[in-house]
Parts: sequence; structure tokens; C-alpha cells
Amino acid sequence: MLAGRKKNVIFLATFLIISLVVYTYIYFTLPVLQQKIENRIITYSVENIIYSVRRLIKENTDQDGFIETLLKNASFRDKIRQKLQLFITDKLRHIFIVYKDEHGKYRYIVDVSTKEDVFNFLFIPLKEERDILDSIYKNKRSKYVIHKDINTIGITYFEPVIKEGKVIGTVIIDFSLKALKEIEDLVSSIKVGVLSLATFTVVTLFFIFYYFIKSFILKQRAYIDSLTGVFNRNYLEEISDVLELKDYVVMLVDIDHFKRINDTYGHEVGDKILSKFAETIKQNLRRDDIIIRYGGEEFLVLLKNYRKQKKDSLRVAERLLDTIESTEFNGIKITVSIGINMDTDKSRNLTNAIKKADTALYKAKREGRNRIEIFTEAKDDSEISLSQLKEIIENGHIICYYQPVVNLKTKEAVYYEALARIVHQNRILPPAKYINQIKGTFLYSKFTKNVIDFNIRTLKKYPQINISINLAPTDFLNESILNILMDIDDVYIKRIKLEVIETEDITDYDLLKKNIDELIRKGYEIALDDFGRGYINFYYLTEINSKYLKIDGSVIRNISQNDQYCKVVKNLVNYCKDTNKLAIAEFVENEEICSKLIEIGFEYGQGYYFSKPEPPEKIFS
Amino acid sequence: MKRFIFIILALIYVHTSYGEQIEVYKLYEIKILSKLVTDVTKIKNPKVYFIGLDREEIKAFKKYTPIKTTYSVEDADFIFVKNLSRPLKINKPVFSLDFKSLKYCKNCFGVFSWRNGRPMLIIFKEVINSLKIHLPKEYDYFIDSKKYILSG
Repeated sequence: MLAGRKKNVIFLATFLIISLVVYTYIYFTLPVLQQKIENRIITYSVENIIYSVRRLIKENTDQDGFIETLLKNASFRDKIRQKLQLFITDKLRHIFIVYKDEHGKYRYIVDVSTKEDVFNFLFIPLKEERDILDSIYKNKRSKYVIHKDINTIGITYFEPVIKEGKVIGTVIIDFSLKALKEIEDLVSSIKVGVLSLATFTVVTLFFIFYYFIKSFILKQRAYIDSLTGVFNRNYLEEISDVLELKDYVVMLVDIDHFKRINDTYGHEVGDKILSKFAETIKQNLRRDDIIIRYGGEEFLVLLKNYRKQKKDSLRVAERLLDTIESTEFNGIKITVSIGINMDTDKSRNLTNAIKKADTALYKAKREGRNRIEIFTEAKDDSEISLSQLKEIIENGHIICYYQPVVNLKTKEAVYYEALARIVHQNRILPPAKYINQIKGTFLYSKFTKNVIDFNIRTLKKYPQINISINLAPTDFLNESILNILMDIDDVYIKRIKLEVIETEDITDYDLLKKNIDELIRKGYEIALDDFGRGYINFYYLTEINSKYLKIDGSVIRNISQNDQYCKVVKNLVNYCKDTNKLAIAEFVENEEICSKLIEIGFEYGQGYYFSKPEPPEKIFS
Repeated sequence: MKRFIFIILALIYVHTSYGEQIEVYKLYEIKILSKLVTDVTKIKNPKVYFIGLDREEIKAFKKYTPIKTTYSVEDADFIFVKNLSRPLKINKPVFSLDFKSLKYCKNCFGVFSWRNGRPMLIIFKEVINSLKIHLPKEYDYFIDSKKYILSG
């Protein structure tokens, strides 16, 4: 697009230069042009008279010749004088005929301006006429001269009288100043017209050019991100319709943990890093590549795919990754995650192509950051691609199945654990199919928000039930999720239990504890999920003020076969009783396990023995 | 009042000056004749006696040429005649400013007139030879036999 604009500017500038050259050419060749116009007008003006004079000469030429007869015969001279006198008007002042004597002097033969016989009177040509007369005798062609130095006559026309290839006399016709003035006025009008037109054209072109440049600069400013100096999203919108997508590879570059940099070093340093980072990207790209600041610390790069060679684009990305990793930005080392969409020809449009690059970027983030991921389409129906997942989550196509937590003795449901499912191509997919893909990405928090929304709707619809919602430790650190939880009506809060699930390790335990305590104060009950597996450790057990402790299925499954497990679990149950917690056994698959749990001292359990997870409309009806 | 009179006088002066502007062709004529006088007399500021010329014409000579006017024929280095109505015989270079005067002044060595909008200067070969007037080569074209004028 910018290239297109540049082309326009070059075209206009070229046009302007050509116009100026043409104008200059017209201006400087105007005297020649003026001469040509004068020639044309004078020839046109005298044409009739010259024609008549020639006819008169022809009609009065006998075998001796016109001039010879004039030279010999006085009465013939008088006759011709009288005939020529008829041509005299206010514009045609004088007509006379001269010949050149043997000494090279010009002498009158006939002069219409006087009745006297001026035969052989010396004709004294004006300075400018002398050469013309001589040249006529040489070239035998009629000529004219415009008198500039004298104000008695305007134009003089010289018509040679030729006999046997020799000029033997000249008819000289003087046109008045009035005739000259008329011609000059006409020529000058044409000159003014041509100059005015040329000036108008150049001025108009100048203004068009000026306003074009002005609007170009303004638009340019609107398209440039002031902090980084690269294009902004306005530019992306501008080019999205005209960009030849198949000629580009779409790449999204995101600075890893940029929020931490901002939080640790301040926004001023953050801005400087962004600015230098953009500069580094620019230096590592080619002239035709387009860089756009897509988000806060996210940059969209449209790599021109010259030879449709994927490895070239990948090499650019790798170079960029290495350069950034080895560069210090204000003394701070940073890394980037890069998502690439190589097959842009398979994308519907630029937005779709970016979405795919974004999916790859999510994957790069999820896989541990500081890496490049290339977008690939899902291979079969059972798999779900990250882009599909993103679409599903963004469109809110998330539901929950519910599994009861029951009183082991009465078999009555105490509450129901909400187990998230997504609807994909008319199939319900369990978390195992997708959760790993979105873990650690922004999608995960969006997913959690959707789950909370769904459960609030379920609580409204089924007022007799209580629900537990699974939340990852990172969800408790996420401000927007916390805000959602804090904003829920107290009526529903009383019916919600928040299960801290086994998930990735977290770094900020203090904040986690603080936030959970706040939620407890708000009225939520906390359950520690999957205890005995993975990351759910003694910190949670001792520091988190949970109401429920859910013992993981992997532990429960072994209590009937392994005495050690049995002893540990028994002690855990006793610990819960001592600390006012309720122990819940997960994975209760059969009656044997249920009996054993009752024997050990469990009051609550959950598993297929009681009910498998079911949709709300089935389990609550 | 004094200012008013000054303005009136200034206007009169401007008007008079404007009226004194000489026409281009007349200036052309004066320059030709002035050069002729200098070339004939070989004097830088020749004294010229004018016969038959009106006051404005003489003033123009005084204004635009190095010629000095004299009111004494004896004192004059050159004489211009015009509109002669009786014979004139002076033993000094005499130049006529019209064809008619040639009839009354046999020793006029040339004539100047305007024909067909062009200045016409003719110097009579016979007269300059007899008066021993020597002119530069540039006058060659203008030197012609007096017979052509007389026959005309």
C-alpha cells in the first residue's frame, strides 16, 4: 500500500517535472513560436495582395518581360503605377518596384506613393532591408521584415520578379504600423494565452501535488506508532484489503514476560525497550517487509515471500530470535516468542492469517517461550487446533458437565463438581483434548471466565444445587477473574466452592494466599483438589484455609491393595477432622472402594460408582 | 497659495516638456544630418546656419546633436536650406532638406527627404567633386549623379 502511494508520488512528481520542462521549453521557444505565428499571420494577411500583384505582373508581362518593359517604357510605368495604386489602403501604405543597377544600387522603377516619375531615383533601403534585398537576389524567394527601429512603416514584404531564373526586379510592399500592431496584438494574445495556460497548468499541478503530499504526510503520521516508529494498527486496516496476502508470510513477535519488565523497571524503561526492540526488528528485516505494532508488546511482521521459500522466512525469524536473545535492551536481556503462518494462501484474509499466526504464537508461549512455532492445521476430526479452540472460547461454546460429591452413608449429593467441556463439530470434548493447548496462555483465563459464566447460569436455573468450580492457581492471581468472582451476587457465592486444582507451579504464594483469603471472606468455600498428586503440596494444606480436601484418585485407587496408602489416607482423614476440614475421596469406582472409604473414616466421595459426569439438564432434572 | 502656484507651474513645465518630445523618425533624421555635417566639415562642434527651417526643427538640432547654430552665414561651417523660393548662392557647403529647394540652389551638394517611410539621403557626385568635399566610404551608396534627380 505504501509502495503504491510512493508510486503515486513518483508519478505525480515526474508529471510535475515534465510539465515544468514543457513549460520552460514553451517559455524559451516562445520567440521561435512567436516568429512562426507571425509568419503564418503575415503570410495570411498579405496573401491576397501578393496574389493580386503576381497576377498583375503576369498579365502585364509581354515577350520582353515585365521589368524590361517598365525600364523602357514611361507610359507603361505610369499604367502600372495607376493599377498598383488601387491596392493602397490604410493598412497597405506603399507599393513600389525597384531594380538593382550594375553598381549594386537599388533604383526606383515605379512608386505608387507619388505621381512624379521617380524612375532611376536611388532607393535607400533601411539597414535591415539591405541584407534581405541582397538575399532575395541570391535565393529568389519572397521575404518580409518587421521594422522595429522606425515608426513610419510596420512590415515590408519583398516579392522578387524573376525572369529566366534571375531576379531582375523587386516589388516592395509596405504595410502600415496599424497592420503590424494588429498582428502583434494577435501574436501577443496567443503568447499570453499559451503562457497563461502553461502557468495555470503548472500552478494547478503544484497545488494538487502540494495537497497530495500534505495528505500523504498526515496519513503517514496517522499510520506510524509514535513510540516505536513502526506502523500501527490503522495501517493494518488500510492495507488489509489491498495486500497480496499470498506474497507474504505472517509473523507475530511477542516479548516474553514484558509485564514483569514494566512492573520491575517501570514503564519508562519498558517504552525504551519497546523502541529499541522495534529498531532491532527493523534492522533484521528487508526493505519490503512490513512491521506493525500489533499490541502492547506484540509486533506483526509481514515478511515478503519473494521466492515462496518457507525456509527463507524461517531463517529471518530465527535470525530475529537469536539477535534479540543476544542483545541487551537498556541493560536487560529479553526473549521473544514468534508465531508464524507460512501458508497465507490458505487463509481467507489477512485477519484470518494473523489469527493463525496468533495461534502459533500461543503455542510458542505455552511450550515455554523463547521459541518459534509454525502454524499447522489440525490433522483429523479428533484433534482440535489452537485456532479452532480460540474460536470456540471466544464464541463462548463452553459447557459444563456435573459430577456429584456425595455423602458416603446417605448417598446424597452434597454439591456438584463442574467439569468443563467444549463443543466442537457436534462433539463434546473433555479437558484432556484441549486443556494442555491453552494452559499458560491468555485463552486459559478467557476459558475460565466462560466456565464461571456457565455455572452462574446453572445456579440460577437450578436453585437447589451447590456447585464447585475448578480454578488453577494462576486464576487466583488473575485480577480480571478475581474481579468477576468478587462481583458475583452473594446468593450464588454461598452455593459456590472453588477447587484449587493441580496445575503448574506458581511463584507468588503470598499473593495466592492473600487472594484466596479475600475470596473466603467474601463467602466462598475452598477445596484443595487432587491432593496427593503433582503440585498440591503441604504448603496448600497448611497455608490455604480450605474447607475441603479432595484426595486424588491415584491415591484412593490404591488403598484397598496397599497398606501404606491406607495408613497415609487414614491419617489425612484424621488430620482433616482435627482441622475442621472435610475429606473427599475422588475416583470412587465401585462398592468395594466405597466400603473401604467408610471404614477409613471418609464421609464424602465422588466417582463413577455414584454417577459419571452428566450435562445439567440430565443430572439436575 | 504659493504651493498652488508651484503646482500649476510644475504642470505647465511637464506639459511643455511633453509637447517637446520629438518623434522617432524626426530624431532619426536629425542624427543622420548631424553625422553628415560632422563628416563634411570634419569639425567636432560645427556651426550651422539654417534657412527656411522652423524654430522647432532648429531647437531639435540644438537639443539632440553637437551642432551649434549660428545666425551669421559668414560664421557658419555648414548651411541647411528648406522651402527656398529664390535663388541662393553661397560658397559654403549647402545641403537641401527638400527637393524643391534644389531648383534655387545649384551648389547644394545633396538632399535629404522621406520617401515611402524611409529616410532618403542623396549626395550629388558632381557637386561634392567640385566643392572638394571628401566623405567616408560609408557614404558611397548615397552618392549618385544629379541627373537622376533632375530627370525625375
